[in-house]
Amino acid sequence: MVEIALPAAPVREIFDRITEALDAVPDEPLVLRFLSPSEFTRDHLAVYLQAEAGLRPWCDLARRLEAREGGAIAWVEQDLTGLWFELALACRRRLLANPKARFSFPAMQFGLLPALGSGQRLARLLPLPDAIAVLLHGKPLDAESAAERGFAQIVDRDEPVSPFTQVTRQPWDQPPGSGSTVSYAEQGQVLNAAFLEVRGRMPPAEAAPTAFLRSLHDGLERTFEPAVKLEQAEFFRTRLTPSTQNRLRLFATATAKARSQMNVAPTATPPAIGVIGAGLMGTGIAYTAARAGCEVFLADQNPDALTRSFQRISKLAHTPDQATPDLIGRIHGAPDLRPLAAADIIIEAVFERFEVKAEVLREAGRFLRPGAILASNTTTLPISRLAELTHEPSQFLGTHFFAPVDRMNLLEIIRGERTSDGAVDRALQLAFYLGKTPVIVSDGPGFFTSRVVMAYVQEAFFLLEEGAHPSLIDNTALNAGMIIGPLAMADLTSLDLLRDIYLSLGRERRGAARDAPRTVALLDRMIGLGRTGKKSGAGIYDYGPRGERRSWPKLREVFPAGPGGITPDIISQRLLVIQSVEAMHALNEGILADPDLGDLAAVLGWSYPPCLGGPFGYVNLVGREVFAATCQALTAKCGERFRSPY
Amino acid sequence: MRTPRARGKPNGGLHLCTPLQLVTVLLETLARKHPALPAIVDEVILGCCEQFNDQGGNLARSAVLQAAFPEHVPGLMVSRFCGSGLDAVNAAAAKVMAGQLDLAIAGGVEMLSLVSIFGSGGPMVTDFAFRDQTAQIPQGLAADLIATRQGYSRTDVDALAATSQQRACHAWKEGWFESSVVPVVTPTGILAKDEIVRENVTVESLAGLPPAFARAGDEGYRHVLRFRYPEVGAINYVHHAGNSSGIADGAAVVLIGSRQAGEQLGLQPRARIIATASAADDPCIMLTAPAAAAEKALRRVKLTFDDVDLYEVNEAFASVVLYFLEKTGVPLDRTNVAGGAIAMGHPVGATGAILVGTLLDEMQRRQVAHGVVTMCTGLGMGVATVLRRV
Repeated sequence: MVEIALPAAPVREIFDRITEALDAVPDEPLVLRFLSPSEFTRDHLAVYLQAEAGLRPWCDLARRLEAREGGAIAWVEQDLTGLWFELALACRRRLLANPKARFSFPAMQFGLLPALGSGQRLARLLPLPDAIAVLLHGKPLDAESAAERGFAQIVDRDEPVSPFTQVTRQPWDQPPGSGSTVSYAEQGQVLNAAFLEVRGRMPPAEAAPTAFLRSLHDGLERTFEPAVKLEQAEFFRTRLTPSTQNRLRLFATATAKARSQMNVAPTATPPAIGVIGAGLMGTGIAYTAARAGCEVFLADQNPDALTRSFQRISKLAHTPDQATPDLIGRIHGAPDLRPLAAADIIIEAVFERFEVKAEVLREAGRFLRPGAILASNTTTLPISRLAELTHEPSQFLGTHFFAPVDRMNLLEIIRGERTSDGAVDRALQLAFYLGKTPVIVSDGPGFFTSRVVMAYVQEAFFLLEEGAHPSLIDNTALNAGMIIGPLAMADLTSLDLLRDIYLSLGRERRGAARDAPRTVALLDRMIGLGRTGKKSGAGIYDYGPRGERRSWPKLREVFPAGPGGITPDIISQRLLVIQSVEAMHALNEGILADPDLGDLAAVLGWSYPPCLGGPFGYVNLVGREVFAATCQALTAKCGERFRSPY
Repeated sequence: MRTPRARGKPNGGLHLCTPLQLVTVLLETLARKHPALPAIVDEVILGCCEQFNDQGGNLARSAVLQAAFPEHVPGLMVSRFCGSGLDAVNAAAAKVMAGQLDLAIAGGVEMLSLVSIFGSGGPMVTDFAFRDQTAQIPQGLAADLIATRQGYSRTDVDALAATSQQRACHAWKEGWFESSVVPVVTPTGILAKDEIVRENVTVESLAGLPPAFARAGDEGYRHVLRFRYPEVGAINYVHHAGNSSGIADGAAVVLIGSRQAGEQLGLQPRARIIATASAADDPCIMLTAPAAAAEKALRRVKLTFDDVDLYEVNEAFASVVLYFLEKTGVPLDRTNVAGGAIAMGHPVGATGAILVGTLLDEMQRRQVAHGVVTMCTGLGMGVATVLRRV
């Protein structure tokens, strides 16, 4: 029995080490000792993305390990992911020397299938739903579940692998040779359920999930080696699809470009955070900061609001693997702003109205200790005007967290005219400390995200006014990959709030907001009828007692059906093109520095479909010339808002 | 000639039989009535939707052998989902018309108590790329989609279902089916009547039944149909066990031949098949093609919908019939006059041949000239047959 230790080393080196051993001792049983942790994106992703000629030897290595006389055993001391996960599946046994070790393969989020045949192996080693959970949903398989399912064995770390350990061939390499453990019909039901789940959250334009489920189905009705060939062909095909290419580009932006916005090193010590206002956003920010290990001072003059906020935080914190008391202990409620003097950064998150915020900022400035920064959390209010009301405008900026704060990973950081570089760096440090992806934007109506979202929602309103049915508009957006339709989102935001936003956006007459008066007039008609959105049970849609959305039968009296001819293709084109044009305006006006960061903000901030790449990526997807021609045609037909600034 | 239709469940009256036995019973009965028939029949053509397991391996030829017909009689199977039995009839008729066949027994069989619908799989079940391309949803949901798009209310579909039940009840009471239903001896008794027919069904009594396909919608199929029908908001789930065709077991055959073959056997022809057609529409909404198929068949013989005295439009779901009536202007009092699959059950591959028999009996009873059978099938197709009484 020959043992190969696999320490932390570049994957290429480990590949060579295993290959050498295979050549040196062709007949000896082999033990691969996976000793050090690895990270999929840091250590393995590049291998999966290299040219086919470079990746093929890895594909062959897995099968070579598996099919050789005596096979191989995986000795697992650390979490296994990526290539190591795939090689461990090609081993005939997996011995877990660490009862906390987990198996994971998080490639699907980048639109990638396994490359070494792991779909076919896992579907033959685990119950099919578990294999799907690991490979399609990226859910790690923990040691206990792995042992329960006979997928791995938990062993004593100090016990050497017995040379007499039985290594029978993989089930699929034993006669009769197919090895699918479930019936065709049962398998069909599981795959069908997985397919329907995928279709509920993403469109067919996302190539990888469908390719994966198909290769499972097609592979499981074939013998192992042809099945792996098929899966690998799908891997290589899928890798080149626009959806996967876009996901990879977005990921590269999130790791490299987002970080390169910062001029200082990330901080290792948690900053102390002051939060003013214990509403929805304040509570979310406080919870997220405490979860990351920050001390949080949460101020609200209304004791009831504070009580409710703490209740919500306990609820959020109540997950089995979190030290709840510690987390809550880090949040200090206060009826006034005095304790905020201890904070490195104070974020006001009070009601979204200029006068209210102005008042709070003036007051907060009194408690801002030297060197600390002050931030307004806002979706649209002008940061430079708010800055004038603060004691130290260079230390002031805007933050735009997205609800729910604990789950939405974007932080839009708004730099006012007088905000210092140092203050921006501090905000960036905070973002990374909280696990958020920051995108720095300049001040301007709606900054970047709200501005593009409002152009998009406005376009949906115009389509409605022109006679398209709300279901058609919203479903068309869903079909393009949005997670909620624009009109349903408008109802959720509430139409009176939207009216205020469009009034404010319209003042500076930039981009699509030049048409804001038409939007405001349209919203006024709805509000005049008492239809303010979901909160009142009546907006574009009607809402039942449990919030269930229904068509509003009288909608056609307000917005009569048009002459027809507004097809789904036209709708999706208008909804997507207007976002791209508006994003280009933001870039052109210097609101945004880098189109890739704009795409990332779109995907993280308002769930723009990753398969389309983002508002800028969309232009490349359809082709620049086609896009320009489309803008021209739409400008002629619908108005100036479709005129591209480039 | 047909077997009774039994519940297609383990407690159904034919469950202990085999599909082969059901066809064999009918072939044996034909042979008893016409002893000269087995020696001169050219072909047995059967429709069956799910041709696998006990329904696989060419049941037509198998039944020929089991019924002890002469060894020289071959058998042919056809499949077009629910339309299979009617297509078997059409295939036989077309061969006779083309002079390539003199006498055939055409029909169909299905035992849904043994095989499930879609049990034989296919790309529409297992190929996810094909399913995306064609937006495949379960038939019941497609029926609800028709109702939603056309604005048929729960009362509309229940009224049609109640009519079907009342008509079937009446027809059985009056003995309208007696000449064509062959009692089947099963291992535990004899089944002589359709099992599913209920008495005293009304719109009111149906009103309490829970919708059957909301679950399919919630499982995710409403997202799938959204890609094909984005204008549809909430689906109006109106179909349920009482206004959808009953899951059933059964078999049926029709004797089809040339004038000469009939004369040779000393048989009086009942009707002539003057036209057949198939058509297709969107595979997602799936159940809308019968009107197009019927129109196409009628056009071949220069008839209009008004010229036809009686229609059998397979009651796969109530909305399918309502949609056919709406599209064609055909009145309900000329359609499914002896009830249909909602009342008596839908043994998928057998139903087409059953409907031909029912139509023939009714045309004869009412002494009318023209009748049409039409059916919807999987993947959006429709089949039709035009009969003229002679």
